[in-house]
Amino acid sequence: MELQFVAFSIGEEEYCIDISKVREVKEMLPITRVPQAPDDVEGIVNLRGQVIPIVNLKKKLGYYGENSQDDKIILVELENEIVGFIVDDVSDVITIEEKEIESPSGILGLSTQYIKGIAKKDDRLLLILDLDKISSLKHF
Amino acid sequence: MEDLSQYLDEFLADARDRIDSISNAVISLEEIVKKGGEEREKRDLIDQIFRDAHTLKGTAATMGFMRLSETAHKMENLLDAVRNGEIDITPEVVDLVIDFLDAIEKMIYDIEAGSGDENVDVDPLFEKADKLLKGNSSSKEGREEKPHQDNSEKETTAIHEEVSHIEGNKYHIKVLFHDDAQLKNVRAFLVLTDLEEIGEIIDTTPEREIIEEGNFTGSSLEFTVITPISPEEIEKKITRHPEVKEVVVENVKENAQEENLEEKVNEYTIKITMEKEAPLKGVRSFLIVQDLKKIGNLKKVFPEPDKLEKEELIEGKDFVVLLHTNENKDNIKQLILKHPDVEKVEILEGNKLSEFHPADKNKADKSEIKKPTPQSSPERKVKISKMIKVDVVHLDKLMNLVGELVINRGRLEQIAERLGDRELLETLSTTSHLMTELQDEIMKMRLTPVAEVFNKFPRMVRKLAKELGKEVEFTMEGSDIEVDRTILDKLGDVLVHLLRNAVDHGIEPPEERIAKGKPRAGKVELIARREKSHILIIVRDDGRGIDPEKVKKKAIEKGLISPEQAAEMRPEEAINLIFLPGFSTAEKVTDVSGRGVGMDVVQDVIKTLNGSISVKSEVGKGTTFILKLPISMAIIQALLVRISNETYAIPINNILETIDIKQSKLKSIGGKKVIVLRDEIIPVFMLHELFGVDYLEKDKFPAIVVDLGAQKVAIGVDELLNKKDIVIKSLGKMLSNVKGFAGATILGDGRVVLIIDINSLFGGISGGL
Repeated sequence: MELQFVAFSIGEEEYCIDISKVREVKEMLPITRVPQAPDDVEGIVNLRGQVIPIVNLKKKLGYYGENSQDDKIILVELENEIVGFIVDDVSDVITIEEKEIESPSGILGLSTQYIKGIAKKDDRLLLILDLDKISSLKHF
Repeated sequence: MEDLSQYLDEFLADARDRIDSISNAVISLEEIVKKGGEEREKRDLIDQIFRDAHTLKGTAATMGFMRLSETAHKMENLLDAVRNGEIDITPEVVDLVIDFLDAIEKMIYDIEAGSGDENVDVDPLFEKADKLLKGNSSSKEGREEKPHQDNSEKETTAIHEEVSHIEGNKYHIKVLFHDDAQLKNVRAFLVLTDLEEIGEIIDTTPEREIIEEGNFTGSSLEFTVITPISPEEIEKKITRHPEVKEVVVENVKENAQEENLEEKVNEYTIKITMEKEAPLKGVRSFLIVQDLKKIGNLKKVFPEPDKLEKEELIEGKDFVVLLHTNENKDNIKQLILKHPDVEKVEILEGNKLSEFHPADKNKADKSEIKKPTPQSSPERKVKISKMIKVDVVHLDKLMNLVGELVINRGRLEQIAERLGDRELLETLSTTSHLMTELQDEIMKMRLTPVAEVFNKFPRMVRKLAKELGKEVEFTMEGSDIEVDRTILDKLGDVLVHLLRNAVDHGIEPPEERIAKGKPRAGKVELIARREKSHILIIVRDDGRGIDPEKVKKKAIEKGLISPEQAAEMRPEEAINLIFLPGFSTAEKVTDVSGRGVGMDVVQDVIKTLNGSISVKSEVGKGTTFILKLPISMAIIQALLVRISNETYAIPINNILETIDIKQSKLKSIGGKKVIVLRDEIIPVFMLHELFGVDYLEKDKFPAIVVDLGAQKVAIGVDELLNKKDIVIKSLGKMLSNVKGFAGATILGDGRVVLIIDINSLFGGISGGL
């Protein structure tokens, strides 16, 4: 079975998310900080009159670099609510054969808790994010 | 089975209303019996209960919920026996009826959840009911076999008795369905239910039972009904059902009723002469007829109104009406003369139609009744609901749209100010006014009487008291006070909690009360009261009260406060400790309360509603909880404040006053900054510190004074900006754990601004201070 993913990069690594969950990709928006919120919650933004929380996926996955104006926001639907994830760049939509996906096992160090699998596509190595785990609210 | 799912929501809502209605009536009935009230009053209540139970049974059967229908039927039997005097209203009977209601309510929940009505065990109830029924009259055994028939007989008698106090006219109504109509059985039932609502049904063809059981298959229905509403209304009510081809409503004369009714009003024959040459005399005559309808019962118009409209007047200028009204001649005359082109008005007392038009003596000309002319009963007697039902979803949507509009208005205002175009500014100001009005209207539409929630309580309190072996006299006040739907939804659980606490922990067992010299039955009151833009909800009991010393002890045990802190606490402060998370005063964990949901949860809910809760208590005298809630919450007024480069909104409701604080006036007590404001010591917090923003000390800074219930606090900021109407938007599930914010709003320039929730910012009463 073929699955489609939206691929994006954080640092040197490439990740991807199930395309059916992705609502849209936006350029960086002005973010309002929420004091006392968890560290990886960057704040909230105004998306066409709706207030949307923004999670810094980079921080969540253990990259503590500076944000830049070139960062992108991927808007994803989690448990009926829209949440934005900050990533470095969004590259493309890719199709992966289900059998090409391997389990993350122990080969990765940090943050494997959010990784559902690893896919090899041509020369690329893609980490498939487990949205259910990310969305599991207690992590925030 | 045909698909009835589209009626399910309506059925469920209706069933819930009926359950509430029955339970409240049963409880009042018990009360009346206890106090030895009037027979008539009792009778009315029993009839009301009976009607509700009966409808419930019928609708459930039509919807295919047979178990539910059976249960309602059994309850109906029980009530029937009560009505016939075979069973007395004892607490036992009332209990059983309430148990029945509980079972039915459970079924309704199950049905709503999609699991049908089969999961509730009603056998024990049935047994109890049978025992009561048989115990009182062994000869009645036969009735169990053929309950329907039995009932219908009873019903007819009951209705004939009722006739005497139903005011209105008697109509014969014939309803024809389209030949190929779907779901005729359901429609027939719905028509029947509709008619039941407007008056008394005396007779039906086919028999009522057939319609109620959903077995109707023919294409026409006939009813005889006594109702105060007009034939047009009846027709309208029936034709709104789909698939109805034709409705014929005919007045049935002969009714002594009618004559009685009419004796109270005056009968006038009025001859109106129009200017013969007036170009619009037809239309004007028609309008006069319309006006006359408003002041009374227009028995007769000659020529008929549709002819009038076509200018077919007697001798080209006259028309005659027979009017029943309680207005006097002068007023009628004035009303008519108000219209242009009227040349002359003659008013005679009594029916003098024949003098004007001999051929028109007999008054109840059948064909005429259903024409636009006739029969609107005197309005003072009729109360027809002008309500329509709207799904809350639509109102929410509308509210949101208005919210967006308000935000956009802000944006427009900014642009207009930048452009400085006077015309644009003026137009905008008008638009603003209109928008405010629109906003108000929608707010009003969302208002729902607290009765919707309150109505559940008499039954709950009674049951609870019973379980706990207490005697409670429960009274409610202000059920008609209205509040926003959203608030009401959340209020329900809170009140359940407070009332449970009152009965469980507050009210003492009867023996203890007597020993203390109090009346045997404890008093629990639930009061709603309007106060400016707020409502107050008060839950008061005359029980033990809360002992501040016990509270302190408990709080120390639980590690919530230190013994030193406890020693310094005033009693009022100590009582407020019950709002701390992890606190529960119940000495034993009962089934009723003390299940871990504490007062802190109650307080949290109230806070999310932008309200506040306070408690007063005196040992041995009782406890009073006062909830202060906004009437509506989606749009609030807020003050915008700035710290560094961040903007925040603070709801005006929370703000007592704004002050300027001079650095030199700040004092320090135990390392904490305070100021003295009108002899009151008030702690000062810088918002910067609370929100982790760098703060440069200044000579003078503005501050907001807020009330935290037990204590006032001043919050320092860099600048007070402006006051604004803001739309509260939720922060979503993800940020629901973040304390200190009621939500966010979007300003005119598109910026997102957080709305500070003062109470949660300071983490509960006094605890953090």
